[in-house]
Amino acid sequence: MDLRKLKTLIDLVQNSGISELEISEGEERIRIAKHPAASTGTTVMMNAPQQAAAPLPAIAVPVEAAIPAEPDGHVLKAPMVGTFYRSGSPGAAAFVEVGAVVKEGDTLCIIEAMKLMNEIEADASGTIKRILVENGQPVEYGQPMFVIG
Amino acid sequence: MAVHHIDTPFDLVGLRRSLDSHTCRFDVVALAECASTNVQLLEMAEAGAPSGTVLVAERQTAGRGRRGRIWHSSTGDSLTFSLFWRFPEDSRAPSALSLVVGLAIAQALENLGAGGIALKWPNDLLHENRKLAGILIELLPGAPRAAVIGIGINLSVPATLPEALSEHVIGLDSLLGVMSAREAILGALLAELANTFDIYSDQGFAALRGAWQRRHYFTGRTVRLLFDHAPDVYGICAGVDEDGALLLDIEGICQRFIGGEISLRPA
Repeated sequence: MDLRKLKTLIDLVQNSGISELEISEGEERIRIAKHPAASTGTTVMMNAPQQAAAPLPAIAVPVEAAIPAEPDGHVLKAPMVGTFYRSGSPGAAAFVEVGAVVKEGDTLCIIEAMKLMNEIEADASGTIKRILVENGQPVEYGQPMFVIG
Repeated sequence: MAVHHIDTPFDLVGLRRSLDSHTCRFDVVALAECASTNVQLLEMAEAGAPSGTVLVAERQTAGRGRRGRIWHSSTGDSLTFSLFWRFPEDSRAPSALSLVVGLAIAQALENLGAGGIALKWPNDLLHENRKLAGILIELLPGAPRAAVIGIGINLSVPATLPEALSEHVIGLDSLLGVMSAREAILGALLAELANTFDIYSDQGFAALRGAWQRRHYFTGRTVRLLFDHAPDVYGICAGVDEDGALLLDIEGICQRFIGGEISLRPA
């Protein structure tokens, strides 16, 4: 995969609500992951399968932090540890998408821990700028979930 | 106890009798039919209903289980109700609340004479690995110490239930020599929930953990933990942590889990 294409993919992840992207193309596999909590930047790992003649080493390309020191809006953080769900049930439409206009009190997601369901509401009005957690992924206490601008 | 008797043959005098000294802690609303007692009670709670409000329905037409699963209920075969409870601000709620509710229900049914009840992490009730009761807890948005607790108890297994389902469920009637009236069952459940919540509010789950673990069906067994969005995990169940998290011994290392569906490892 050429560097220009790689840069395009990094930009794609950077400017979207996706926290992780994995693409297989022939023998090559690329995984781009954002680490918003650590704010250390985007890590890119590129692996070639072992049978490839010349395996590519894993490389790390530091780019600007996923969440800048001063985020471009209000950050809604997880009030509890649990599993993050973007909809009320599997297959149902997500409560919100990036670009949605929300007002304070609108439901944005559900966090579940041990069959205890916690509907999380927007604590500010505005537009959903970013969704920082993937559906079904665990969240830690205080982990940023949404950026509302 | 304030009661609201709306077109239902539910005997609220009998309920008051079985609640005994706890009568003043509950407001019971009985309905012939309700889409979902949890959904309706959440709305009532947001509109200002007090802690201790109970919504019991003869029939639920859109009963909810976890993550949109359907809870089947029909008149007479099950007891379905929801309870709204506000825990003190200085309590550890809602940590391990789902386990606390399961324990209270197990103890209440044991007090009625039902034997052999086991718990399944985090909050199902079993008898010989067949489901007796299910619980779904939803926190009031923006109020993490206020919870709507939905409870469904199988009173009997309908003869019309397909065998593929009926072999996984059990009715309370088969655990009791003489079946209690459902008002007596509801009264016993609410009284035990209030007692258990008092201990939980004062001392947290730590004071109830031993009683919970003694009833856990899976402790010491090799289990599979299923996830919606991740590969299955296998391990030996080593009990639960102080916050209710499941402990699994995976190749000699103890790991904590707060999600997933536990089952016996298939042979």
